[in-house]
Amino acid sequence: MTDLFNQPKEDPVHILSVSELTGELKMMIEDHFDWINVRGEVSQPKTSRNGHLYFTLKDDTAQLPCVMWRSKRQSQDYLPEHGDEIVAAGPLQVYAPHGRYQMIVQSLRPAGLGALQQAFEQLKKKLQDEGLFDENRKKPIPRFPEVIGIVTSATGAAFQDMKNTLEKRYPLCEIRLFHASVQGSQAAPEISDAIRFFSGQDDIELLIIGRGGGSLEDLWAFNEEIVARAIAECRIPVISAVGHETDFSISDFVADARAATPTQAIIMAVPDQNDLKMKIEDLQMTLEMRVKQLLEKHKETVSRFLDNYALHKVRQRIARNKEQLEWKKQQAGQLLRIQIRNRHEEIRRLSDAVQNSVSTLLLQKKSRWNELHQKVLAADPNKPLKKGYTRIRQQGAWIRSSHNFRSDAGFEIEWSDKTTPIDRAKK
Amino acid sequence: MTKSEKKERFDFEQALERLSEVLKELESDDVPLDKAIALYEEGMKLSKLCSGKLEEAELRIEQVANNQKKQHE
Repeated sequence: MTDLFNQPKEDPVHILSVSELTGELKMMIEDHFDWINVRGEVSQPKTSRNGHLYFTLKDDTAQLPCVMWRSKRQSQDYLPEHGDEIVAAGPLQVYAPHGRYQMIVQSLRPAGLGALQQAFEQLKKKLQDEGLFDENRKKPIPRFPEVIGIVTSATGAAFQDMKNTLEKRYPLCEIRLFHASVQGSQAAPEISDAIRFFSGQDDIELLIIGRGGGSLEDLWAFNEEIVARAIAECRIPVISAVGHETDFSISDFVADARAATPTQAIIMAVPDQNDLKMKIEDLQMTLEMRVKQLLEKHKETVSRFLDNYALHKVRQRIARNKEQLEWKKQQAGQLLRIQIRNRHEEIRRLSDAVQNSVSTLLLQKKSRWNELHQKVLAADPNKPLKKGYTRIRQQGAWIRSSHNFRSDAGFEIEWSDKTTPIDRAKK
Repeated sequence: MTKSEKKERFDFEQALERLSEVLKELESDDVPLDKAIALYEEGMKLSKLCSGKLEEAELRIEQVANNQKKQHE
């Protein structure tokens, strides 16, 4: 790049054309002033046939030509009038054909508190008329989010407060931070970019945008239209937590819920684990009670059922079965009795047979004895004497034959009643 | 069979056996008178013993039969 400020006064070799000079200036100016905030008084604002807004910003000693393209002008809630004190934001541009520079205004707002309030009211009315604040547009806040996206400054106290509160209250939830400036000219575009980024993430269930307290000017980024529209278009529920208790910002109206402070936003976003534990205990007790009640109810139902017709039928069937069983038992008993009777008969027959055989044996023995007894009686040596016969004894011996009788010796004649001695010597 | 039953049976059978022997001796021709009388007395005694045993047996059989009848009734 040619150093324009260190050229020799007369260098016939290096002479710049107007275009070259303008090109060099364009590069230098546009690179250096890519985004600026300029305060001044609006002069001669005009809207061209194409819808672009042209005006001059001036103060006591200087003036700056400005243009706001139609696309930006249409989305602008506040349009300045001649003499309005405003703050314009955007890059500087060198317009070579006219050899002049101008500011391409991306956003503008009235300067000063009264003016800010006026701009706020204008935008609020515009968005309200569009229906961006309607209750039926608002998405419900999830009860137990697992991942929360946070749009705030990474260095601010607000993020640290949110983080600490979450750890104490509901450590199951994860937070993802998208750092964005929360004041200054870059704040609104950064915040809206962050919202759009999170809206495209599948796992983010809830979004918190916010910052700690400050003046209306400090909090102005949350009153910008681009932020409001990013919130309105966001796929996931948004909690706006701009740290002022009493005043509302535009983001509060568009968001699905509003929290007075970032800490309050976390309290709104997640349940308290201690409350949950107590609630779970209560639920367990209620459940136990309910189950017991249900059991009792079912017991009653069963009791009632026991008396119903179907069961009566079952009882009848059981009774029939019992009767059949009883009959079979009786049959079995009869059969058993018959068998026992048969056995008795058999035993009786056997015992009779035994008795008969014993009687027969006894008769045989008796008969044998009788036979012997009769023979003994018949063999009685004194039997002939009883019949009137006599017996002769000689020398103590019974003389049965005449051969044994000695006629020269004495003898005895034996009768049944007495014995008579016969002495041979007497003869 | 119990010991006493065995003894009774043995005594009865033995008595009958002895009675047979006594008869044989009595019926022989050369038996002396005194011995014949003694044998006769022994025979009568044995016969009485056998008769008693038979009566006892009859009684026992009758008792058993009566018991059996009572059980069946």
